[in-house]
Amino acid sequence: MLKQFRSTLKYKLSVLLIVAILIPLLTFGFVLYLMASDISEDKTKDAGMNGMKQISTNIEFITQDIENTVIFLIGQDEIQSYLTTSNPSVSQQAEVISLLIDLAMPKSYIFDISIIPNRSDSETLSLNPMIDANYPPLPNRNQFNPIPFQEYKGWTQVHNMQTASYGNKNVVTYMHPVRSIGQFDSIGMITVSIPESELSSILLDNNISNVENVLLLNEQQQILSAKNRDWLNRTLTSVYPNIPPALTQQSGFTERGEGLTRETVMYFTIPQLNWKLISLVPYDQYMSENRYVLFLTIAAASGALLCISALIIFFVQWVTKPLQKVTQHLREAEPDIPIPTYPRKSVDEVGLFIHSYNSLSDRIAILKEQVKMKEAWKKQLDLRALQAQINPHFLYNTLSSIKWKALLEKQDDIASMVGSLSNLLRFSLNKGMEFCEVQQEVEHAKHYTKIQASRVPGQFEIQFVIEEQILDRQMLKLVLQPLIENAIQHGFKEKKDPRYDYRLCTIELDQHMTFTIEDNGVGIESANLVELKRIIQLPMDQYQLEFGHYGLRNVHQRLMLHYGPEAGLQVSSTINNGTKVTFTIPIIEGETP
Amino acid sequence: MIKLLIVDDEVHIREGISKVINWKELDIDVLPAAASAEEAFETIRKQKPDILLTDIRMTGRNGLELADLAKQHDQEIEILILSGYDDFHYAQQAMKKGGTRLPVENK
Repeated sequence: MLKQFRSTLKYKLSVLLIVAILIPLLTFGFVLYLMASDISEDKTKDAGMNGMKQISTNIEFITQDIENTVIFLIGQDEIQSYLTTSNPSVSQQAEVISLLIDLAMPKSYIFDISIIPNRSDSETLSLNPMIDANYPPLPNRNQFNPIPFQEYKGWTQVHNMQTASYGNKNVVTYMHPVRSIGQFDSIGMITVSIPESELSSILLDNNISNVENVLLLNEQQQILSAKNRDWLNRTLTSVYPNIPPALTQQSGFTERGEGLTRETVMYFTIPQLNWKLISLVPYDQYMSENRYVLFLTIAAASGALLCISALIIFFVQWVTKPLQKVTQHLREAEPDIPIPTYPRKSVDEVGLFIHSYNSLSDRIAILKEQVKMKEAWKKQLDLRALQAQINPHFLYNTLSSIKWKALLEKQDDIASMVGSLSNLLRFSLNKGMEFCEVQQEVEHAKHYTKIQASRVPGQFEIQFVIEEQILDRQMLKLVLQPLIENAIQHGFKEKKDPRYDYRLCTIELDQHMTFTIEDNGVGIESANLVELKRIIQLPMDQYQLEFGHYGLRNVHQRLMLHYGPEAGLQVSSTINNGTKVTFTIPIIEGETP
Repeated sequence: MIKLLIVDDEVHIREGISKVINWKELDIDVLPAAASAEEAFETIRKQKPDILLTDIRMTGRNGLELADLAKQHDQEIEILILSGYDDFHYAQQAMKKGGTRLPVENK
């Protein structure tokens, strides 16, 4: 069924049209999808970079402000005097604390400011009553000559600050050494701590940027802030093992992972601080944005498919319907009914085909009419020819008239000859009768020899030796006469040897229905005899007439046809000694005569 | 004397049969031969022949019809039919069908 359908023009046209239209459409959709992917990626990257710039600016603002605050504090008399005076008074301490409160109060991002004196007789002053600041190990810029704590200037990693009033708090601290004005002696240290939650809120504030999952790294690649609190202080490579280490540029993009888990890594370096902002965007995100494009493409392809299907059905119907109709007309065509025409609706190839088909119908009708007329004309001519043929009745009656006229004129020879001819004619022309009595066949042979004898008197003699008891048996008629004709004529024309001028021919018929026709003619050479035996086997059609021996062939084949292969003619001959032809008609017991 | 009527539409045949055979020797008186069934029937009515010798195929009424008419007119009449080349069997069948068995001879 499917195979059958596949071979139809409908199927082929449909497939061709679908392929021709859908492939470009789908290709276009796919390219559009890829382009949209790229655009979406670029857009995400641009937006991400802008967001990170914003975050960077905000962080820079805070850190810059803190660094400026520290410079301001170093220059204050209260600080200088507190750090340089031995056993400072309570009022000195109170002055410092009140200065720190004044500075820190309006700034939510300052969690704590501590003044740490080098002198052992002075106490560390903090904004928050401190239990343990837990200052982290300081990064060594020079391995062989580590900077002492009092000399360190810069930002620490995240550390957990224990305070009496706020409990534990993760903070990042800016440390700055204090030197005396004038002597430049190292007299102490100022630390300002930012709560990690403050940084985190900047990173995660979606009002500032649309970047998610942003990490903040310090110069040592340690995580200062992240959404996941467990990641704090870990290195980037321990969190994201596959990340390319070379984030050398000020800002840029790189990639991490393969295939479906691929991510775009965006990074941005905050100037001055050398801190880095890192953001990972999974490719899935672009894809999800592109799903809209994908949906649009599929919708367009489906819509197109529907339209095309409808058009194809219409178009294919339009092309194949006339073909099917014409095929049906041709298949059901009857010779007597004219082939029905099909209305032509267009002037294109299909229309031309229909036109040709319609004119074929007309042409067939014309040819048929011509054939009919010719047939009728031929029949008429045949009928006239038949009518023009001599009526056997007329021939027979005329011979009778001649016979009686000859008798009236006392011409008995003529009467006898005409009488024999008349009998010969009646027996030969009696159509539809294949069999006769043996006696009739013998009489017929005798009439024939009588006529021949009167034509060439004294040239031959025929003897009949007939067993009388079989005279009333039935036999195939017109068998003897051609054999006798063959026997008396054979050798006459070819040889004018006087020895063979007188021909003796004996026809014998014994009680077993075996016929023997023997002559004393010149005989047949053995080679010719073989050829003769071959020729009498040839079929009696128009193509084989040229081989001659028509009489022998006719008798031989009729005998075999009616009595079986054994009944055929047996020919034997000796050169210069005559020819003998025999055949036997089987006696069927109880046959009806 | 036995009276014989010969009927044939061909002049040579009826003249031949009338004259070639020596009817006198057979003690038969040959009536003037008739050329048609109609003419023959006139002679049958007027001269009452004992034997009717007629051709089977003639223009006008044929020999079989003449035989029927003759038998109706004269039960005693003897009839001989002469047949043409392929009328022999047809004639024999017709004779049998008619219930009267008539001898048929070739001309």
